[in-house]
Amino acid sequence: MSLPVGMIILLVVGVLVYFGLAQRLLDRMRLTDKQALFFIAAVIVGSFIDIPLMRAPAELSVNVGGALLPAALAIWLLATADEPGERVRGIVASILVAAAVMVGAYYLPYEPENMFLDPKLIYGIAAGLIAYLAGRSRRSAFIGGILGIILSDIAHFVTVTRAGIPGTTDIGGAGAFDVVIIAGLVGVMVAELVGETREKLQGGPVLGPNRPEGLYEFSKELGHHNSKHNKDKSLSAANKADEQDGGEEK
Amino acid sequence: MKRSALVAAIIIFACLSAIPAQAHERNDGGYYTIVDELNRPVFLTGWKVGIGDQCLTDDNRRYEVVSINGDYAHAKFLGYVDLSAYAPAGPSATRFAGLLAPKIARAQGNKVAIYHTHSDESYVSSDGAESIKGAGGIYKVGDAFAKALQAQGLQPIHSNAKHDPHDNMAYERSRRTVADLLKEQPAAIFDVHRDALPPEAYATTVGTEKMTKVQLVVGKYGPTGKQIEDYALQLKAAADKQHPGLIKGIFFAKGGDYNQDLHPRSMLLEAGSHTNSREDAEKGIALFADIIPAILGQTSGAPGSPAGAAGLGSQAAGPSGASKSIGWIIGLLVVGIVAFLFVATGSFKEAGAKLKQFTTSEFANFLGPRLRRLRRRDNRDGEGDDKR
Repeated sequence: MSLPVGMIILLVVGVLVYFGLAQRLLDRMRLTDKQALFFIAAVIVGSFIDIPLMRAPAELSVNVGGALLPAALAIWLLATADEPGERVRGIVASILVAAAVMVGAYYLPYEPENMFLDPKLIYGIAAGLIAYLAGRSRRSAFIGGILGIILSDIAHFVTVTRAGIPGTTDIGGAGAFDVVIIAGLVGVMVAELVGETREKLQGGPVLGPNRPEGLYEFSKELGHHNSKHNKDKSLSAANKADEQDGGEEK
Repeated sequence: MKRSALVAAIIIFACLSAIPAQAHERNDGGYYTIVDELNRPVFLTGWKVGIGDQCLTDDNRRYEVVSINGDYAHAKFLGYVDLSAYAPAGPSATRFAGLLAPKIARAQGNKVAIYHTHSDESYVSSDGAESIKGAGGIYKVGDAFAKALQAQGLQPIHSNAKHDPHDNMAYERSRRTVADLLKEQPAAIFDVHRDALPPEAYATTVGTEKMTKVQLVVGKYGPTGKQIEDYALQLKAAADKQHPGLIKGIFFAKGGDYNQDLHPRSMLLEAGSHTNSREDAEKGIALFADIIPAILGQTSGAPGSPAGAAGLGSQAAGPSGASKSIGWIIGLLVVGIVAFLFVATGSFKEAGAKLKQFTTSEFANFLGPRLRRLRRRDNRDGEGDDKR
């Protein structure tokens, strides 16, 4: 395979941005930075492993990186949910997403000349909106995106097999670039966007048990950090300016 | 109250933007004719077109649809595209090197992957129906393409994977086939389809042989669309040189990337129409295979070509498609980060502070233990030095 340098750089930039974004989003799934990176590494390696489940009457296989690992993470998130309600919301979101994908696949346009939005994004955005409305959290948006697409794949396999159409179903077969993972990530982004906008408009998150603390002010923390730091050391002109910034915030 | 109304409006808007505005397949057997300012037909397509869609005709005129009236789409002439700059440059342009191209291709061991997203597509006169689930005539067209590529010294990998039914998820299922094919590291990848138009739209005669033309479809949706557009123009330029009239044109579709984001040399081909015979489509695509070795042999363009010597662009022609795509990816990333910071924090001051917190302490736990270990070792070394 021989490619011009331009195309090689394009591939490298694309992959770095994609996995960089994925890392930031997985970071929100009860994973630390390191765990998120390890997870991505595992997904990449797992993308090369397909486990065949069935040969006849139709072919069925499942990809480790594109389906098993994300499903395991989603199920783990469900299992470690703070309250039973969150679990129910995650499961409801997954079922609704699967239904939306099946209805969408049937009714949405499918010819290149006719599509208006890339299917990967349609299902990701649908997953994010449905899961956000059903679960109101990034985690349930992620669970909805991942499990929703996997459920729709299983439903597709059953439908095709029943109809006697020869077909290949490789759940999560595109590995790290599969619609399973993309829907999960886009779902988190949509939940983030809708959720943050809504919280902003209502003047801060709802407080209570199992709820995040109030709005976090980063400038306050930095100001605080700087003032402590400044006490230890002699004040430089730049630090003074920083402290003043921090002071205003208080 | 006002706030909740605004929130509801945002959510409704987001939902609406995901609902198809033009989601109807033409099932009346009709098709669209794209006409120019003087109402002369310039391009035919079997599926509903949208305002803003573009096409490049067989004689390299580019149009953009501005209004739609019944079965006619009125298009604005954007200009002639000078494809000479996109033609395979360097030694392969000479006749001798052209003869050598298959040998060079064989020596490089270039693999070319072929698959079919719409497994059911068939040709009525040859296959008996226009759609045969799981066993469309399109696979035989793919076989003909593979055979012709092999004759050119390339290594075809023809996937037999099926992606039925012919629905909106088909491209997501075929994405898995593409990912699987990518493991073989192909130098190019083709998704072969057939169109749905009256026979005359594709019928042609090259030399004395009756066959069908080939149409290229570029997915303009994702940030990688620019690179694919360049690649399509290169293919058309090479085909115009070797087999004038073989390419029907290029359709630039806005609605998706058709998995062309997975490989910088991905192309969707329409080999004839359901109304043409499959044998004609097989002949047309076999001829198209002739141009592939010259395209794959290019690891860079001539200094004056839009690809430039390194494939990044040239001073004369500006940035290449690959460079534009890189620009789009980085641009979208930056816009995304700024938008996220603003939405998450609400003011540019908070956003700046959050960015600072991110760059200073977010990854502290990454290198923290190692840095601490290093520092401890430094201290110990320092103490040792003191003792001496």
